[in-house]
Amino acid sequence: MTTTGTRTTAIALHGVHKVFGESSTRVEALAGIDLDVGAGEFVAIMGPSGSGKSTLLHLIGGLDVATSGTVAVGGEDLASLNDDQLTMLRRRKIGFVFQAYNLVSVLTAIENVALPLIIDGIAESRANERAGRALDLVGLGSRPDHRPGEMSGGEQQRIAIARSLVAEPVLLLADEPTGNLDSVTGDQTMRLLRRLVDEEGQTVIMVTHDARDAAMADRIVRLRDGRIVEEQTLPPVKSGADVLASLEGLDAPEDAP
Amino acid sequence: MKWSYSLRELRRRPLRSGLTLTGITIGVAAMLSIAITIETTRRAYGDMYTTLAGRAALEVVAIGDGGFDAALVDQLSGTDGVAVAAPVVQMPAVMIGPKGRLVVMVIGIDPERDTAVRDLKLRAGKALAPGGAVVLLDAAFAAANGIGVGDDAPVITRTGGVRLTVCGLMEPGPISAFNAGAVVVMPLSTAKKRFGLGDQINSVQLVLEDDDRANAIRQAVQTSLPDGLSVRPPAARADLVRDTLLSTEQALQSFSIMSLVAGAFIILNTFLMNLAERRRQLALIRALGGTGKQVQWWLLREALLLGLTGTAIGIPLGWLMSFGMLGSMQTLMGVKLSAPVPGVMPFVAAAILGPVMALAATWVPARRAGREPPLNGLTAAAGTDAIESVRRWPLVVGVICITLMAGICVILVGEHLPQRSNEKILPAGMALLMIGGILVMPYLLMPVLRMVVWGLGPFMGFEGRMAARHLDRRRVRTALTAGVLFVAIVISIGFGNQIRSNLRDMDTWYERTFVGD
Ligand SMILES: Nc1ncnc2c1ncn2[C@@H]1O[C@H](COP(=O)(O)OP(=O)(O)O)[C@@H](O)[C@H]1O
Ligand SMILES: [Mg+2]
Repeated sequence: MTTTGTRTTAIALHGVHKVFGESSTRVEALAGIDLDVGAGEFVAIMGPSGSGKSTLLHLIGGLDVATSGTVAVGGEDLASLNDDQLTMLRRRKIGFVFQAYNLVSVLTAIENVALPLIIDGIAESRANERAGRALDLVGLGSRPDHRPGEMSGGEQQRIAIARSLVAEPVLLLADEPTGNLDSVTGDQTMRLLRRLVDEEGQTVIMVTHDARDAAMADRIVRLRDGRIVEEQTLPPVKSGADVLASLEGLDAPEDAP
Repeated sequence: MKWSYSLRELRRRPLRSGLTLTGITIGVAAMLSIAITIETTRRAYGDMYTTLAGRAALEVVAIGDGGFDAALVDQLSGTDGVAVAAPVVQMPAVMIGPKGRLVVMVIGIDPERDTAVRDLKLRAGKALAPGGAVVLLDAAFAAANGIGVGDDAPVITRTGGVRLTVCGLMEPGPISAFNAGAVVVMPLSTAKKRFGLGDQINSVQLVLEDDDRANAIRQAVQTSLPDGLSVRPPAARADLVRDTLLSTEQALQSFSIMSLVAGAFIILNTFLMNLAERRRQLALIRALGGTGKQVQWWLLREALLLGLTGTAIGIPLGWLMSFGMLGSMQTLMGVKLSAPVPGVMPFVAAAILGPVMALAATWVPARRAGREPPLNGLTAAAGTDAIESVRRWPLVVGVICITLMAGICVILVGEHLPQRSNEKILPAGMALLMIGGILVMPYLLMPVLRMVVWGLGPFMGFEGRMAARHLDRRRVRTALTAGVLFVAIVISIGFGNQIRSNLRDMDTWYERTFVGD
């Protein structure tokens, strides 16, 4: 469950550089990244602010293109895709979860979840059916008609996760998904992601500041100044406390089970 | 994506959507009511002259609606195929009735020749005697104003007042159709003498021996006429008096176009506000796999919804407004205008125009929003604080528009073109000037804004400086807002001026026609 060698590769990055701006405003956000993530693997990306975590996620998700190097998703080199093809990749193969849940405020929970399918031109009844199942999966099947404004932050993030899953993407990308949540709802969200990996075989790449969140992953990749400075493969998750105990130099969480 | 989603987006910002809707509604309503007013007025003039002309198949009038020498009547009587040539003078006047002042049209006819042209059936009293100081009134008009046979009828024109006597009351007929019955019919000779008209008349109506030969006779008559006079079917006289109508029609048409342009800029302005606020949402759609085209269409659909709604409100509103406008026209022109008589075309035009205006105003920004890379709207830094870049093309296009307008002015002032084409060019020119002005505005606005900030700097305080900086940042929108204000001012000044000059025109027309010998 924890080694990448034995399974198919979901994404592969080789010598990836990303440069923003020119001359005086030039920033090298990524300075040579090599990374393979296997299908069904849960990878946490950590690192100080500005180390290039989000940039990395954007490149993998086809939201931005690398300055040099190759980014392959499901064996497909993104550099060879035009804008419309990248759009199709995002539509069919990638699910995004953002720190700011980014729900559409005028749409109900189920409409938000169904949005990627509606965008894909899938009939409303069919889209709603699938969205209903995705809502069940995140434990919100009973509140399909609530608007985002009527829900708590944790619930909104779960809706965002349901939305990211609804098109059954090969890859789920989450950028600080617990960043706006309190520790209780944050933990719920993390357990949900873990369950998706364990039960649905979902591949997840998650950016996080929080060591406790990272501890739920199969592998932790640490970035600094656009480079990978450390990779750490974690033992299979049994319980949160086990994982925490196995990590060095981390503060014990106050509310661990 | 579902249309109901668009509707919800619009409902989320009710004030702004309402403002946009108002812009479209006003544009459509103005355009429609003005088209109806112009059409109805023209038709009313045509009908009026046709009725007035009775059995006359042709009439001779001065191009430009002026007067001409009565000596021509005899020449016309002698023309082959012409049975009777009946001279007519007309002039606006005021009659003092028992209930107060009445705005009337004096019509002077030759009582003998005129019987061949039209039948004046009398309800009471007796017919006009040549040379008598007597008048005929429309029976209904007289009754409504408490005037009877034998009463005094003081009539006042520019050249003085005369005391005449009502000798008879007419049944509804050709003359009472004119000016809603507010007519004072008197012998031509009396009118000429009492009002000091000399030998000037306004028209000669020709009853033909054979109406089937009207075309041939018309040609024969036309060749014999001096310059400046024209022979044509009575209804066509509406075209000639358009000289009087011309400036009003121009004013109305310019107003119509300006309302449309103003409406479009209001739409654009609020649309840009929406876009700025919805960057994140649009980026999200793109991140979730929406194509740029989908985003563009999604946005345009909202504009289209507003366009359709605005049109749906604007058409009935325009129809209602046309009643009011026709009322003003009636007062302005002194012509009875009944209910609006619209053709189908103004409605079709209005129905197309509303949605097209909404789409045209939002097309470019919607396309640009669709093409924006999703990341720009998603990252935390993507607030709405980025300084809007001001491009060069609006300046170029704006200067071209203004230059074109300047060219048009030169042509108009130089009178190189026939009058008829002026009236088509002028409204287009107004639109050009306005669009040009709005496009150039940002380039003038920003230096002016900076000068104001610099001048007021010490007194503005922190908040003032923030506000100024904010305006500077939202250049496009600031310019647009200034543009809408500019349009409003241009409309008020322009429209007011047009009406004033129109009234002046009427004076000139009046003087030229009736006063000057
Ligand atoms: N669109 C951009 N334009 C310019 N610089 C950027 C842009 N996006 C990110 N950067 C820069 O790249 C570096 C990495 O950013 P990011 O990937 O967001 O870091 P993290 O997510 O680890 O905090 C930062 O220095 C940031 O300022
Ligand atoms: Mg980040």
